[in-house]
Amino acid sequence: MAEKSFSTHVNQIYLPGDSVVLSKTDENSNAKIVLGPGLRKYGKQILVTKPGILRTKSSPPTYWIDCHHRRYVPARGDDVIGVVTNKVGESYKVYIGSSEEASLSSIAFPGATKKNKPNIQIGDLVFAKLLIASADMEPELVCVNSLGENVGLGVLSTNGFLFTVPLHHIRKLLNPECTLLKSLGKALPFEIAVGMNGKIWIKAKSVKQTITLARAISMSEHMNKEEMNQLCKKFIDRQAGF
Amino acid sequence: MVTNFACLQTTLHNFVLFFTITFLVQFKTHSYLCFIKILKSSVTLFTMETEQKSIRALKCEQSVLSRADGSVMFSQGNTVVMASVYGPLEAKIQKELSDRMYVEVNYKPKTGMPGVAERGKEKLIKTTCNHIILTNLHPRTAVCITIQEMQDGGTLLSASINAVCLALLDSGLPLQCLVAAVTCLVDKKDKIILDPCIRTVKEGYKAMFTFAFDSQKYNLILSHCEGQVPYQLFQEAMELCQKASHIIFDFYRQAVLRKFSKELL
Repeated sequence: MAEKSFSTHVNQIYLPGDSVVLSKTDENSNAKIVLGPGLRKYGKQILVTKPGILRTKSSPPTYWIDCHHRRYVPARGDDVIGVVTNKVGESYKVYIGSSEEASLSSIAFPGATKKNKPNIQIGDLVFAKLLIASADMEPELVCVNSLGENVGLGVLSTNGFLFTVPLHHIRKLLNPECTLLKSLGKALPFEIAVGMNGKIWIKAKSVKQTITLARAISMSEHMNKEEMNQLCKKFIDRQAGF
Repeated sequence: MVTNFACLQTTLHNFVLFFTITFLVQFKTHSYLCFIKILKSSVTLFTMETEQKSIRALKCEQSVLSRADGSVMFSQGNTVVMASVYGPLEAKIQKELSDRMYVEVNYKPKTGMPGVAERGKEKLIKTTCNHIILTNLHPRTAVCITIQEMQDGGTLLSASINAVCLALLDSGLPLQCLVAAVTCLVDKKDKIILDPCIRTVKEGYKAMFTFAFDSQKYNLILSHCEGQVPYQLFQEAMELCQKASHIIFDFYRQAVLRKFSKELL
């Protein structure tokens, strides 16, 4: 730990309680430095709060810890998949995997008015964006953008399949460099909704194909790029009957 | 003579390594605890010294439970415990704290219902957890920590605290620092024995101490004492445990390194 405090070790393991030293260029520049998840300022020190790998990016200089999670903590702007559990007056209660259920107003749908409400039953799945996510308040979901337009959010059809994966796996799948979903899609066309809360909804032409895809996605958790390509090939071959 | 001695040392070291490996293999085949990923700590380096100055071999397997947010199977010598962390969850109304997270600790003994001794352990673990978790970041929530005793080989309290720390690391809850607990006892001849096994404990002792230290400055977080000894001996025992806690912190780092090994490239 002692030698760690002398230089910045980007892409190295950090444990809670370790201190991070900024790189020379960032320390001398006047630009504001952004501390992302897993880091906190304590006096003049920057301390780590979560175990993981230190990552950085420039303009603006940003530091964060890449950590493994299973439990979702709401963050503003995240797209999540939730299960409608209750209807309270004009709004629905939606379970998104966090400590508190989120609320979703029945007016926050594209084209919805006080009289023209969407048809949502208890148990339906919704793909929505988090509008309010604060530690002290109930999270609030919306299915429209700020102009009230349709942006691909809303109720998910009932003939799909929902499953849960760890949150770090979701981040890996949504990384533009990850080709898993694209290469699977070339062989087996499917519809997918990926929620930042670890829930994935998937729908393919047949039930068999849906299950194959769901299995391929959840199995790729501990795989790198090459292994993912191999897995894709294996699953597609098996699907074709080899 | 010098070369001879060095040679002897290497053979001794090899023997120790061999012994540990055979032990691991036996453990794997015989026991019902099938360890898939066995992490061996740097303890082998310390077994070279006299047995009283080292702690027993540490092993752990992370994310053993599929539904828990963080879980670990941890063994320290023959002592095996399993710890799991669930949270942040919705807190019950009467347990809800408006400015911080409520920490609940459940200690399950091997057989039967938890009694007074278990409640005592829960309380000690709870205060330690409250110290290391950044509870103010998740107000009005609760975190549920469960410890299942699997095998009693002595020093259950320190093993439980270490297992909980590893489970918290696995869950990714925000922590202020890490904690490592070490137990030592003063036997009837006033000799300090570090990390005693169950046989040593049953032989009788003058006093038994459990100390927990933080990872930043190795400050004392928890001290639990049974028995009576002069203050000098208490001080000596604490210093010995403080030194031994470094081994546990190294082990934590190795365990996390192992977990992230695929993403480091």
